[in-house]
Amino acid sequence: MRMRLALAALAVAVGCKSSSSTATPAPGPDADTTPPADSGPTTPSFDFSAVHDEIFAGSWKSEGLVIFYQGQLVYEEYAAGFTAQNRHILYSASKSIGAALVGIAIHDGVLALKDSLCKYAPPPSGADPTLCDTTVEHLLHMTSGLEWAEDYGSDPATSNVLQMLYGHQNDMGAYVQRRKRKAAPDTLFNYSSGDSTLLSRVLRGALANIGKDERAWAKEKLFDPAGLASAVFESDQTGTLIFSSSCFMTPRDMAKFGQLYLDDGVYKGVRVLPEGWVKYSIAPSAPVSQPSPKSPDGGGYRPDGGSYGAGIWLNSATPTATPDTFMYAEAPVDTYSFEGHWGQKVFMVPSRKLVIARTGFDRDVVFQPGPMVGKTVAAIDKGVKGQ
Amino acid sequence: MKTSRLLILALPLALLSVPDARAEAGVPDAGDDGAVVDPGPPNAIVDDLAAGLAVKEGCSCVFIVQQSDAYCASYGAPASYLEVHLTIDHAGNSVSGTFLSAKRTAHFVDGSGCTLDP
Repeated sequence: MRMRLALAALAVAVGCKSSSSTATPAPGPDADTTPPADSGPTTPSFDFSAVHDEIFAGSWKSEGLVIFYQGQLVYEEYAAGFTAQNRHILYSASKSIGAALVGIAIHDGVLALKDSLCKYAPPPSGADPTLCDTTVEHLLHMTSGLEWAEDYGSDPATSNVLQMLYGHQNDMGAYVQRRKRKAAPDTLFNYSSGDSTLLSRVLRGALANIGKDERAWAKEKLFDPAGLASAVFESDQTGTLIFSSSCFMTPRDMAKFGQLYLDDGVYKGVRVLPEGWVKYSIAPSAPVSQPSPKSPDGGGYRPDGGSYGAGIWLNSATPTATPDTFMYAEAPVDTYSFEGHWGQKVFMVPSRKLVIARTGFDRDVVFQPGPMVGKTVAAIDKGVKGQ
Repeated sequence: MKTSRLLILALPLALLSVPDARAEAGVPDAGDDGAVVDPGPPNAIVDDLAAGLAVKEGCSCVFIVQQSDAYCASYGAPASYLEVHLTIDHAGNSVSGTFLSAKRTAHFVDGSGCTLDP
């Protein structure tokens, strides 16, 4: 009971704390990265004061905010000792980067969507006999059907994600491969850091078949050509990049990765993601293709409103869905996002040519990003209207 | 709502790290395959995970994010008020930590980040 009282007191304390921060309305001369577009239309004047107040003047423990409009950096702000030069952990937003790498690998013929995972990652002893029915596409969509406890909120001792990341799993992919089957592939969405990590194990195996190292290949195929110079992807003891949660970048590079999606996979005139990959990635998988109202008690590890594509959260399952079925009612219907633990977020809003990257340390209170997106969109709309 | 999928790791770890709370929660053995994690006493498993989280994320915080030692020491703690005693070795590129019954170490390699020792 004392513990619970302490938690309540802590929440109150956090809620009363304000942060000191520095805002930069335009890139400075010491910028560590350049915005993705060198030139473009004249940028309107925007007033992001409401966004600042939402993110930095309230109770959120924000550490960085970067906004791109039409490919141009129009706002950035840092707090809590962070600057434009500091990388930040992306946690589960790393899944979106892993999915992009798989898209590139598919285009290059390294593997295929319909390939069994066992083609590149032989099943370990004790694996479910139906494990090999699982394909690359199922892992991208989190519809592998493999049993997985992602929920940090119940019991740490039986949480698969905690065991995988912080236990003693030298080969995290093999740990996932040992999970029992819960459902037939492609019939059930189950948000799983295991599926993402196994996807990386599969990619590593496929690359090994052609003599490539996964880390070096990721740098060559994505991070270098997309200008993501700050990117660092951690691995397990066997060298499998931890797609689930262990990529680090500066907030500017996070926004640049988002801009890459808005620009259909092209960076500075060079195609980085295969043609059609963005469209594929933001299309819902079959089990989550229909709009459904948000649940009153929280949705847990599944789309609660909105939907999920290939490593990407979608604000709406369909273009005609109503806001009561959105992930974030404040955000436009076409919004999609890369999202990670403790408040790491990258939002893309194609209808507004807008990318928002936000980092934070919201460990004690779960960050709610909807108002941030809504207020940013309002500032963009007002600025464009006043142009 | 959807954001509940981001339920805070720190709080249940903290809760279950208190003996009385653990007894209330009835923590069962970990691992359904027994192949990798020693099922051991439940408290030891939770301590081990808590120490692993603090050490690994503390290591990444120091060497990749390049934040201050003080910030990073608190970053991976099971909760704001529960410390994992971290030892940060800048010269040796490692972070070690102890949480109740568990001790873990992570090493940093430039370009590839931090990895927990087996």
